[in-house]
Amino acid sequence: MYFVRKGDVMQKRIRRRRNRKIDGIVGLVLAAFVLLLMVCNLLAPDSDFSERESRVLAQRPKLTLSSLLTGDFMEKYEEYLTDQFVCRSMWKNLKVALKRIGGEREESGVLLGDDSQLFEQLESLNQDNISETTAALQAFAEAHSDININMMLVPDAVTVLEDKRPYLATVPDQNYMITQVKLKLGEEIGWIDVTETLNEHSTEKIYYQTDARWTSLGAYYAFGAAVPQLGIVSDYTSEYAAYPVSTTFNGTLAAKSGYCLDVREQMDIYVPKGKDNDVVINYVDEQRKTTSLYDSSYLGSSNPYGLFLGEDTSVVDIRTAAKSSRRMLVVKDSFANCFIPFLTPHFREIVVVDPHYYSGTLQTIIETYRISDVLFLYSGNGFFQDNSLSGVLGSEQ
Amino acid sequence: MLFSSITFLLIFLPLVVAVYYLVPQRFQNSVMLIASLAFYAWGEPIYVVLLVLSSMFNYFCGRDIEEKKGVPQLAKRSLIMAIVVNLLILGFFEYYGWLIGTVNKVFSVEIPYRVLSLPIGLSFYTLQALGYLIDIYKKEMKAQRNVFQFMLYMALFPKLNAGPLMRCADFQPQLEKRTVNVYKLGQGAGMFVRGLVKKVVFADSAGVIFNQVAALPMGTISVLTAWIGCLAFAFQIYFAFSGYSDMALGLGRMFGFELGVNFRYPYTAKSVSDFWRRWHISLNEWFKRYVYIPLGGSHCEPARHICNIVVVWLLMGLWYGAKWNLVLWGLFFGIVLVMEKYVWGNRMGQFPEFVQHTYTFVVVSIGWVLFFSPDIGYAFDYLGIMLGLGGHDLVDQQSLYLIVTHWLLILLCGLGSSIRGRDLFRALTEDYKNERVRRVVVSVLYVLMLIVSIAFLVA
Repeated sequence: MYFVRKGDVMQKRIRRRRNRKIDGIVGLVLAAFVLLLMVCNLLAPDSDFSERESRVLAQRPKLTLSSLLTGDFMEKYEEYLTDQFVCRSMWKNLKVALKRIGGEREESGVLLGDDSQLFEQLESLNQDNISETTAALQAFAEAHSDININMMLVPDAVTVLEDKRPYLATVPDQNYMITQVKLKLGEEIGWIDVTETLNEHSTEKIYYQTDARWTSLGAYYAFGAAVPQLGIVSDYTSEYAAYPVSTTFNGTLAAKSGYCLDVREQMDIYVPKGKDNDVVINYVDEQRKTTSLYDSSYLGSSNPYGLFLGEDTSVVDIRTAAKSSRRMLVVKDSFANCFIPFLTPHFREIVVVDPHYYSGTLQTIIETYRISDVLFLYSGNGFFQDNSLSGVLGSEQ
Repeated sequence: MLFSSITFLLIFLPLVVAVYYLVPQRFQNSVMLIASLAFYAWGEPIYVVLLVLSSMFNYFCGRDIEEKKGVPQLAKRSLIMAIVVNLLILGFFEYYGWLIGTVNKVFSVEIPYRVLSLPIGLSFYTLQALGYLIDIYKKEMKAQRNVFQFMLYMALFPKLNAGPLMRCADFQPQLEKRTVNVYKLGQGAGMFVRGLVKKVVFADSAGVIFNQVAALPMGTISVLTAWIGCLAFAFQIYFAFSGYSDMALGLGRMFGFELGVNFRYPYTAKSVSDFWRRWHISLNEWFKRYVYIPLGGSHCEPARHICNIVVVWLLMGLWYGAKWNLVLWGLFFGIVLVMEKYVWGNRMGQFPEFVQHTYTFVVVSIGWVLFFSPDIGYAFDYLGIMLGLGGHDLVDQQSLYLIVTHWLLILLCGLGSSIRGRDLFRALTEDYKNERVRRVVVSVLYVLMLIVSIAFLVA
């Protein structure tokens, strides 16, 4: 039973010797690779900010006795090493690519749909938050019954482009959420329903593939649906001409998720035909004035969407050459940026407020600019995540 | 410090390896001790004092017990005193908050208490110290003369955080004499990388699925989703534990230490007793040697034997953590093992292997539900769903989506925890006619594994 053939022993010995050699080589190769990583990490300069994740990166922590004793220093040091790792985005892309091979269709809150369509995953409904916001909206409407107030809540891409959702993915029912808001708001505020219009055009390119926002075409259709409610008397369909301004757009969802899709998209702008379209735009906070709704210097940057009204800011005042006495206040998230150009032929002044960045109240704006119309324009996700709107709605006490 | 951190991989480890291999052999233990204390202090800057004090205390207790070995009663008194102190320290950090919390609940009083953060590795090095003292008392080994060597036994960084547990008697020769060379270094590094992949890629990804399922409202999940959650946890805990053990073994070998194998493909077990012979082997051996056998083991009447098994498993449950559902978890396995021993164990072999594997897997899964649940009520609700009670859907869209989006991970985890996976890996690294091709393939494979691990760590 315990007899072992001589050949077996020999073979085992040979195998062990071979394995030893391999082990040595593997050890040296691994050591060399680790050394290479160390050197690269030492040489690579630290950066302050990640455009891609839009967050501040951890910096080398300061060594103090108390931070050492509490362990704070060690924790921060690991964060620092991770955040400042050489070619950080490349590592992230590798991870995302591997997970994608494994079937995963969601990364950092971004869904990868069919036909390289990226979606922002929806926030589920926070009842308390919504009740507070709608109550504030109602109170605001009651206090300003002399003003024409409208609300446009734009469903997000994942709601409209149902066919392109990842196979089997479950997504919160945003249509239901939007209907809830409509019911809660009641009669005081005009409701501009764009869900139906967008659904009708869902086969066209009304949302970007690589960005959470709608395209100018999507905004154009929504504007068509809003015309009667906004009290605009015109045949809007023949009034605007579309011009492509970029064919290399790659939006924030692509950057945020790390899905390397190699999709370059076209950006259009819609310009009123045959009208005097002079505008003066005043970025109130920055005290900067320009004469164009578009800033093409953003096209090559990491924020190409800045083409429409630049970076997010608190208040933008747009004066137009429209032969109208109406002055509109638009309270909005970034979905509105490519919508506003459609308004310029119909209002002599458009004041755009982003409550995220604005600390005053709407009352002040209404008085200062003698506002006659108010439009609340939000995307579903923008509205359901929002926690700053009820703040600006409250009147000064 | 954790093995799976950038600080460890790119700063601590290369530095320690370089210094260790450069200094003369007689300084290697000192380098290791300093490195181990630094390693511990990086994660637990205050509790490193506790580690040093505990080592010194147990060192002197060991000497004391040995000196009194002529007078058994005195030796026994010293031993009991030492055990009590060790258990009090462990109890203070691990069970104090839990006990007071339970007392408050049962008697509806409000004794104020602070939940202390548990010093990492405390439950491991305490067990090692207890084993050491008992071995001296039983004259199975001599007390350690050199306090620094004993401290190194307690604090050796590869096994400090999560084992494997080593008997000082087995470890002593390695403290005095061991060799290192480039082959051992390479072998250790390879093992370490394999363990790193297990922890960072497999365990952490499985953890993401588990957390996803755990975050779903209990009322809405389907039977299949509940099973997927349980499976994900089974993979998470196995790959985390065994990955950490592999890393420990690999690191040990890089410095010339041989630590014991801790996991032997537990999910391939054919019975629950078999499972526990393959899972966290060093811990189970510790409980067997220092609790089960002193209680009388199996060489006594059945009633006593049953009692011994249950006591060991209750203690084991408590060792894993201070929670009532872990006590239940221990009790559950105690009962299952008694059943296997006395009721259906002999009959198990008659069934086809497939049935034996399924039986083991289901019992172990039920165990994991008790293990991961935040409280006992949750555990029973979750088990109810898994067993199809309460009218939950058998399959829903959510569960299919989880499978479709994680099929590769589930497949790889299944392979990685089975013998077949090991054979595949061997085929990939050993079956080559041309030795030169093999060298290139194997080197590239290990570098790729390291690259993927770092990608999962950084991102």
